[in-house]
Amino acid sequence: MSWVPSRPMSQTYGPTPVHLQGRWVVLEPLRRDHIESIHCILAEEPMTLLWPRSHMPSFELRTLENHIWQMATLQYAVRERSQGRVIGLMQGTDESPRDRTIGLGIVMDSSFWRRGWPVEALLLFLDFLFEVRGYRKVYFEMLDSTRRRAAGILDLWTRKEVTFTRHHRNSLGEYEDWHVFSMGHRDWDPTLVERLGLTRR
Amino acid sequence: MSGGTPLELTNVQPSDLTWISRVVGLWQRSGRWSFALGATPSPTKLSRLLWDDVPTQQVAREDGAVFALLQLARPELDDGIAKLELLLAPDRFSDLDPLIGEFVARMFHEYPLRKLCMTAAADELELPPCLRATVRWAGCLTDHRHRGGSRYVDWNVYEIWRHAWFGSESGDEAS
Repeated sequence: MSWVPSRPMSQTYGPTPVHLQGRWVVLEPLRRDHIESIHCILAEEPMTLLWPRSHMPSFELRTLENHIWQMATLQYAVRERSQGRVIGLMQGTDESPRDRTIGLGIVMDSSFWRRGWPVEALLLFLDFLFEVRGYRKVYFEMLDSTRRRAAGILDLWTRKEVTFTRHHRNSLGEYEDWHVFSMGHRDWDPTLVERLGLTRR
Repeated sequence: MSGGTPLELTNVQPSDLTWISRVVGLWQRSGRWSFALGATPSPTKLSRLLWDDVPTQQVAREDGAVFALLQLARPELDDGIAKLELLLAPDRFSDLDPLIGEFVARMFHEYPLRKLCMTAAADELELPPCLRATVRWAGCLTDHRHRGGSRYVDWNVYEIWRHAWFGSESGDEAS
């Protein structure tokens, strides 16, 4: 007797990939073809907003690629819609399904970040983490120099919980404080994405 | 100090896994040895916690009985930091205090460390007196760890600076 599948082989099994779409950006599940663009962003300047670790690995492409894949199982490339360029990366790191907590890592081309609209990628990803994945708490870890650049957004949305003093060296070799901020699900407006005309599908 | 046999710090042996598997979840513990409610870690997992990324560790013994595990874990020597991890019998604090002090002093002497960091659930570790005097409370991750039902407990984060430990002027030099 031969085994006969009970369903047509073309049927998809497993969870459906999620695409997060805004007016200016689309978040796509990370693929290998995204890595080179992310590598270019990181190579041109050390602009890593909220990157969980202050120490960058080698900038060699394959080494960086291995590092990125090992960092997290929840990673989305940020693609701007007008010209289709990959401009950043959103990561969920240090996931704890039991505690329902997760860390957030962001890589973003600074020339786009300063235009303001890429914050849409952050809103989409946070909404995904809270409303779809059901996380209770999201952590943001960063050097003090990053905190000063992002101060406005952080003060609006997050709570500083831990500061490691003179913890990590920055790119100049100086020790900086390392902060841990958090945002809880109860602080998140579940209607925000819809009210801004963004799409989660 | 109980009995006539001096307490001592000795090196960890593979056989120490036996008593660790009995006390984990019962003794006072820092973050590395904190498990989810009801968890039953496998011997493989316990072995990894005992040996992975732990350059130095010792156990406190009296008459062959063990009542503490002290670990230097996850060093990041480029930044001169490492984690201090503890597994402590709750009724032996007065005996443990000098041994913990000895271990911490030795770690600052043997490694180019600026500071040690330690985390612990608020309901899982009472700081020994020798640490209380010098530790800096770095903050608290509120409602961080699940404790059953809808209850979550806070997670305290501590720093132990070399200069504070030895009572010298502040600085980043690991010497």
